Amino acid sequence: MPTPFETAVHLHQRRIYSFARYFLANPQEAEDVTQEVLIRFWRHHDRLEETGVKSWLMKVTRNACFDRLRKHRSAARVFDERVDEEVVEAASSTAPSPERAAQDADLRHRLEEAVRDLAEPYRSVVILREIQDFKYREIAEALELPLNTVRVYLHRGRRRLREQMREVMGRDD
Amino acid sequence: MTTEAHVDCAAVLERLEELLDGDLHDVAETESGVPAIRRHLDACPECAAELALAATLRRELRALPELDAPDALIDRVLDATVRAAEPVPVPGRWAAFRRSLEGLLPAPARWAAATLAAAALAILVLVPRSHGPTPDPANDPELARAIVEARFALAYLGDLGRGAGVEIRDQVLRDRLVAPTVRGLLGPSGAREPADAAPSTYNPGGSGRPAPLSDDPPPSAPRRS
Repeated sequence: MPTPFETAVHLHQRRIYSFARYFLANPQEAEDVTQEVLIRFWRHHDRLEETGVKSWLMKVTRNACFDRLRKHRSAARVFDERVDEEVVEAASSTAPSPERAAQDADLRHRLEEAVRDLAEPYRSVVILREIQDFKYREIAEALELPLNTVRVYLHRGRRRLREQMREVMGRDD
Repeated sequence: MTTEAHVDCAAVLERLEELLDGDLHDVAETESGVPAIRRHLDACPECAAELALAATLRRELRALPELDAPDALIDRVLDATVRAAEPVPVPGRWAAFRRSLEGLLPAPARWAAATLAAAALAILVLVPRSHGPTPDPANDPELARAIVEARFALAYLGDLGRGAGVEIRDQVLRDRLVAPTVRGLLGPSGAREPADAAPSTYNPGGSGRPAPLSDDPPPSAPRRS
């Protein structure tokens, strides 16, 4: 019978790991961040309100990612092929042809890079809202921002991404 | 007859993301109101293409998958947290003890952790209690458990040592680890001389597994080295 903590770990691990993977370029760093956050969660979990766990975890995860970036600035800019392969594999759809699959993979690769190149806090807001489907209120709590500011940052982030991706996405399918 | 407001491309492009998300709530017939923007989009192919691009981008972002952390990472975390806190049967405690250290600590830190554990538990085993009758493991479950834990720690030290090509002699453990630790914690008056201490149950030349309980006399009795 799993303990409440084990259940919570299985529930939240995907959220934590996904944010770290899209925020950082290095999968190993993302694993280290995930482990660190879950260990901290173990230390604090019995003091957290259930309704605030999700926001607390994302706040701690984001801070841990910042710490990693500060320590390894150069590593954050290195693109790892494994990131792209795993994302493509996980998102593999019913691509009608190998050529289309390759185009999709290329698009996702460039999109991930563009997201990682976004300045903060736009990067965090875009990841949480568009990739992880957080509600505006949850993002506001996690990033300690007013609700309207979250919307503004999301729109600005997507606008910047659109500029980055214009050439790639403007091709006809 | 209502006068329709007109809006230019710059104003429309500025509000495209809001329009896409349904965050434009003003339906009034104003310069930047939704009806005016929609009329502009109907009439301006460039802005319409830009809206389509924004919609495609949002769709592609939302298609990026969330990813599961590797199973091994989750196992490591659970081994170090909730599983380490669970009471386990004695035969399984050795595996749990090794796992809890190996999952978290590099080899040098495991040496230190096992040494400290061995020292702390050896004190409990080898130092006589200052008051009351001499403890007998057969009648004292806590003491029996402490003896088992001390053996695990000492055997683990032996395993680590052999893994590093180092043999830890029984005398070294007793003279360099247990005795100084006892003196340091209890002071000269509370410590036994190493030669008087009960023989260590660590078996340095053996397989590294804990030695069986011996028939040693209780700690208060004089010993032969």
